[in-house]
Amino acid sequence: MWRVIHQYMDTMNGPTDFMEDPVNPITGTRFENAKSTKMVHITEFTADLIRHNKLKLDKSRNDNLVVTFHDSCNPSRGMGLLDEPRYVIQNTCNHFYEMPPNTIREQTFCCGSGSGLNAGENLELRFRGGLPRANAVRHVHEKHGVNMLACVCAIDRAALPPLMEYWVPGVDVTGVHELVGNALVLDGEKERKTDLRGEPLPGMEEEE
Amino acid sequence: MNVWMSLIVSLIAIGAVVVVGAIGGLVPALHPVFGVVIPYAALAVFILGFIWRVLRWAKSPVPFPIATTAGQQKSLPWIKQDKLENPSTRWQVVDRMILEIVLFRSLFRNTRMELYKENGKLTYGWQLWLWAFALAFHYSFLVVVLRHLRFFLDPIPLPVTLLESVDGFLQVGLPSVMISGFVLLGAVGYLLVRRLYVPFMRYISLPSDYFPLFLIASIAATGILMRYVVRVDVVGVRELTLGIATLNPVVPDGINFLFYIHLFLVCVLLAYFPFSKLMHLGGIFMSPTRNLRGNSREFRHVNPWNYPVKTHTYDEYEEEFRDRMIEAGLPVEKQPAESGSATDTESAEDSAE
Amino acid sequence: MADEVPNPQEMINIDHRPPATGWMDTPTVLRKGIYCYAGNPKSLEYVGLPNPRQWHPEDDDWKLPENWVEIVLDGLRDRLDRFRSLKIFMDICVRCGACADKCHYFIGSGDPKNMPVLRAELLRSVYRKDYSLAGKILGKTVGARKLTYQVLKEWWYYFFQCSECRRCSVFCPYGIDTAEITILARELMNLLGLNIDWIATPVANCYRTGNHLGIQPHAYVDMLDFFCDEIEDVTGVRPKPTFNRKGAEILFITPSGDVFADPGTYTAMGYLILFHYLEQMGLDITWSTYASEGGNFGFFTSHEMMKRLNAPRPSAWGSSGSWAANAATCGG
Ligand code: HEM
Ligand code: SF4
Ligand code: SF4
Repeated sequence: MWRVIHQYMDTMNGPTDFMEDPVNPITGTRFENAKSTKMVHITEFTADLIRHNKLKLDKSRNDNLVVTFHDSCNPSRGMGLLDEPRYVIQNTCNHFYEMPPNTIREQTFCCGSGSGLNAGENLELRFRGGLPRANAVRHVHEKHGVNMLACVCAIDRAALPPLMEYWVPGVDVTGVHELVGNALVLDGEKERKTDLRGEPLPGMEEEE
Repeated sequence: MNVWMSLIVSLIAIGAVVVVGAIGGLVPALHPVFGVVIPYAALAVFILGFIWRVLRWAKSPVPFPIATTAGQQKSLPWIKQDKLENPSTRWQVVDRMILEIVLFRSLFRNTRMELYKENGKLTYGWQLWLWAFALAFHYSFLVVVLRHLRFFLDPIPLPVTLLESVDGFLQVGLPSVMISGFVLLGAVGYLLVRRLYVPFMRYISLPSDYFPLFLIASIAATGILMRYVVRVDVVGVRELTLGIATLNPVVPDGINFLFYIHLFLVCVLLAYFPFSKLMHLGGIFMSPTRNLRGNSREFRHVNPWNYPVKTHTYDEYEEEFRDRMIEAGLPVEKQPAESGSATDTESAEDSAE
Repeated sequence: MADEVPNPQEMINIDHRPPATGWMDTPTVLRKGIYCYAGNPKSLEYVGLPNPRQWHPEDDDWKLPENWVEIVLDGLRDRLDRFRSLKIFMDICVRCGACADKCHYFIGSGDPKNMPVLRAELLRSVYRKDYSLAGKILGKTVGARKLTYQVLKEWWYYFFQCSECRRCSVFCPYGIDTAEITILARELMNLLGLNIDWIATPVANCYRTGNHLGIQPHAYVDMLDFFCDEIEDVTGVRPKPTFNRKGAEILFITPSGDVFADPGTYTAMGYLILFHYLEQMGLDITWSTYASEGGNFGFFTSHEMMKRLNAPRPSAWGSSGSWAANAATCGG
């Protein structure tokens, strides 16, 4: 979808003059790069907040995770959203490792199920197509103990878990904002014992 | 079409071209045809064909800004944009295009995938041979073409003479050896061998991939033969080519038939060019994934054929789900009592046009 | 279903060597596990896509309209006139092979027709037959062939084995984007009603309910309510999202997948937590049940369908947000 928003939407359904230019109300940042479509990616928004020190984040709550990041194809090759999600990840968790350079950023590999091919009857195709991605994850899984694959795409979150289970058991899939949700310290919150999945937080294992 | 058939077909085609050229050279009565008429015709086909091709492309609009973004976008001021790989201004696009055209930037990225079945690992090593030989091929071709200007311009412009002295810097032999011709032949050789040796290359290749390689190799080979082996009458040749260039054609006697083969091969290349993949020369300048900016959320790209489409309007949506929306505490525009009157909005055209 | 998938040891045994027969002479056999099921006629009908009917990819007869060849060739001509990309990409490929081993489907399957260059040739060969003099006269010798039933089936099989990821276009010296060719080829096949159900049904759902999964407004609210329960359990704080609220400063749109299934749901909770945090600082944000889809499967159907499904977004803004923050899917 981000390709649609970035490269097609304004042309198809614009101009959107009736809307206001996107400004982050908390930081005052004008999103100049989105001033015509008025659509801002959530990681652009969050990266801006973090940069302005507006979020109180407790990275250690994600300490059980050793994270790598899967660039989704179209946000990278049809937009160029590369450093924003990385910035958010690096500010929400302590253990982050990149996959090999030929498999990330503009050279990233598809999850194997993109463009509507995420069905149940074509699992073999999906596992074959997802092999290069999984192989790169396996590399950092073995080398750095990566156990969490972060991404910015909802299809990835549906497609990657079975792919990981098939090729690289022991690696789970998360969205970048799940990491944010876990790290963010809310006003008036109680002491968290688990993360959003109900898994015990680091140091809380015995109390469970 | 398997590889043998492809090779045979394109070799036969080249053979035919050479034979026809040789006949043109060996039969003096045909010299005006092969020395003047055909070159003019080929040149006309080349120029008109090239223009026709480019105009044909230009006629179709570019409806969407589909740049391939191969680097960090311009977004927040503190995130470093990759201006070359994801340009957001026209000048940055120009820089990107220069890199593509002059240095074959994209080919420079080339990798080769390898699968190690024993441990199930994939690797992607950087693979520069194709890039290097493609550059060698194109630049030596360019140099050869430019050097030939000495045959068409009088006096010979200084840059051409300079280029010759650079090209012949090895200073071996008499006439001094021009490197470009040999590099050209060598690079064509590599490209050909690669096509034949790498299994998937063999698989995707068509006769129309072998033919231009054979054609260019034959041109280079006949050129080298004439320069170093069969010594043609250069003065006579230059008389003929200058005649062509000045629209004052003459057909001197005594030019070796090898020259006519060379010339006819070039004519075939010229005439073939606009109708073949060689048009990538023009196409690369117009390729929408490379020559557009990546700033499509900042500035609206206009699609000339953007037409209204049938959409599902909010009113229709609310009409269908109103009761449940109210139950769920969602705000609605119309209360249930008045909803009956809203059914006529069913097939509204796109209101956002 | 899953037990029909070969195990990883078998799967990794990939043979990347092409067969001995040329690609045009190697018949395509649709293999189970690779193709997706045909689009449900009800879904096609709902959005007015042509030729809704029951059919199966392995059937001999795909129940096409009588004049299907004409429909496709006219459609091709029309698209050549509307998309410069298509015209140029049809004309300038030199078959240098730089793109060949860049496609994940080729890497994972070894099927040579999954090399981007050959995937494109599947369409290019038909284009040559129709648009180049040489192709008309010399046929196969110059890589041209007629559009036959077999060719159409091959298109369908392989253009639904391309995920429009554009990796090939990064490596191509001319930027030839096989994704663009796939997009347009799928558009052509949709003229005949040859969609897959995993696209057709989300498209119909999205048209009707605003999201691919067909979540109706009250259910959408329920789901988010459930997430708020969960968040309250973990943090002791309860976010209070609003929906379809007019005059909000920002409209937030996320893919319905994240509202529907793990682990996306945890990401949705992350958004709720973030917005709750920011609301204390003055953020004014709302969710929409009408524009409740961050993805757009219309993109995998046709440019027109993409536009139809995208329309709710700006019009939902009209009544609520002044700009939009969006989490989304990848391509469409
Ligand atoms: C701006 C101009 C040009 C650029 C950027 C360019 C770029 C390229 C690249 C990157 C390749 C792929 C390498 C390969 O296939 O080995 C290629 C192939 C080729 N180019 Fe060019 N080219 C240009 C102009 C020309 C011209 C003027 C000719 C005229 C003869 C030409 C003839 C060829 C041929 C015959 C091949 C195919 C080589 C093969 O079959 O392997 N190119 N070009
Ligand atoms: S890289 Fe480009 S030019 Fe080379 S074979 Fe692939 S599509 Fe054709
Ligand atoms: S766009 Fe299609 S052909 Fe190109 S690499 Fe991706 S899946 Fe393969």
